[in-house]
Amino acid sequence: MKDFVGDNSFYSCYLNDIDKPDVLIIYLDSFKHHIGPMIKNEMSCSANYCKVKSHKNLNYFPETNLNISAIVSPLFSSEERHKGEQEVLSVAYMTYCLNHDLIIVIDEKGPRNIIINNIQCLTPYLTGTIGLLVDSVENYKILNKDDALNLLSEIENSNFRVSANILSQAKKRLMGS
Amino acid sequence: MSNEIKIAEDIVLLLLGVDDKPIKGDIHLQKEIFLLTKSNPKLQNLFNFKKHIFGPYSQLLADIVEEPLYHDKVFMRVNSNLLLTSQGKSEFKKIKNDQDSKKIVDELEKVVSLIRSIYDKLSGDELLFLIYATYPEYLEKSAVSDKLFKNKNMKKRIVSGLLSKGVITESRASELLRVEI
Repeated sequence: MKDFVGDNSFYSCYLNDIDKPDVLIIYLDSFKHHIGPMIKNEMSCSANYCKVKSHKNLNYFPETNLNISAIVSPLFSSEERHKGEQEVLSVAYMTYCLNHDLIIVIDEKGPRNIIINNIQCLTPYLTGTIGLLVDSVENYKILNKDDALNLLSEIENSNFRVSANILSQAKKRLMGS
Repeated sequence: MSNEIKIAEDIVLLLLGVDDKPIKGDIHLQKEIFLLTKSNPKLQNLFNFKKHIFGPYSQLLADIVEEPLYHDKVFMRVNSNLLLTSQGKSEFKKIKNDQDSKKIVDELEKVVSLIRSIYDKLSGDELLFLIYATYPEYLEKSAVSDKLFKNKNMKKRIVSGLLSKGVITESRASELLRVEI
């Protein structure tokens, strides 16, 4: 089973923005999710959290001897640190050090660029919420095409922040698959 | 001889050994180990960083590089660059292969690799600026803070350099431009 590290935007998409915890449960059934304390706190604010919090594949990332968040904190603004973006990066790096079969879902441009420019070993595993949705049909076969297209429409009409270009490319890829 | 000094020397060997490139100079050495200590309170106690004219400074670390007590002839300088001698490389391998401490050494190695992959590419001014902006408590005895923070052109140049090297986010860049001391 692949390891999975996602940012708050990914979890919030399914728990809050489109209110589809059942889709998040499909992802939990399929991958081992590693969550740091800040992302856990954000998730716990959702009314849907009770539906996923005890899932066997939800691993609340343990405190380790070395807190990597402290090392990458200078790269992020206080607002980004408050959202836990340095934590996602550090959980992703620690997970990668243990297992090179993982998926990293980060939607925010800031931490994505930090990875691309500084931690190239993580780049091949990096995707976004929408990219993962397409991969879920094409590669992982955990969603069917029609369900994924419906989810894209729901995401498009929700508060989830994503560019029209990314949505249109995802639709094209799904239509062609 | 204190076991703690051996641990500190091993850590410096790890920092230098994980990358073939040398460490650029004392500012990079001091600040990269300082960042490492921020990841673990025991390491903070070990290196005991103090306020200094060029940011956080550990006397123990300076002593280790000048005259290591446990590992002999392991460090050398080429101009201001610091690197391992062949003896140092051999000691580095021994530390990595020591089965008694393998777990913690593996973990430390990954963390120091991360530190070097991010912070090696910065100039001394960029690194100092980022450290001071993140840990302003170390500004107190600084001899360079006025140069780095009070000259607007200098500040813009440093932040622009950090951004163009992809080391900070755009949001962090905006925040750094607003930093006043």
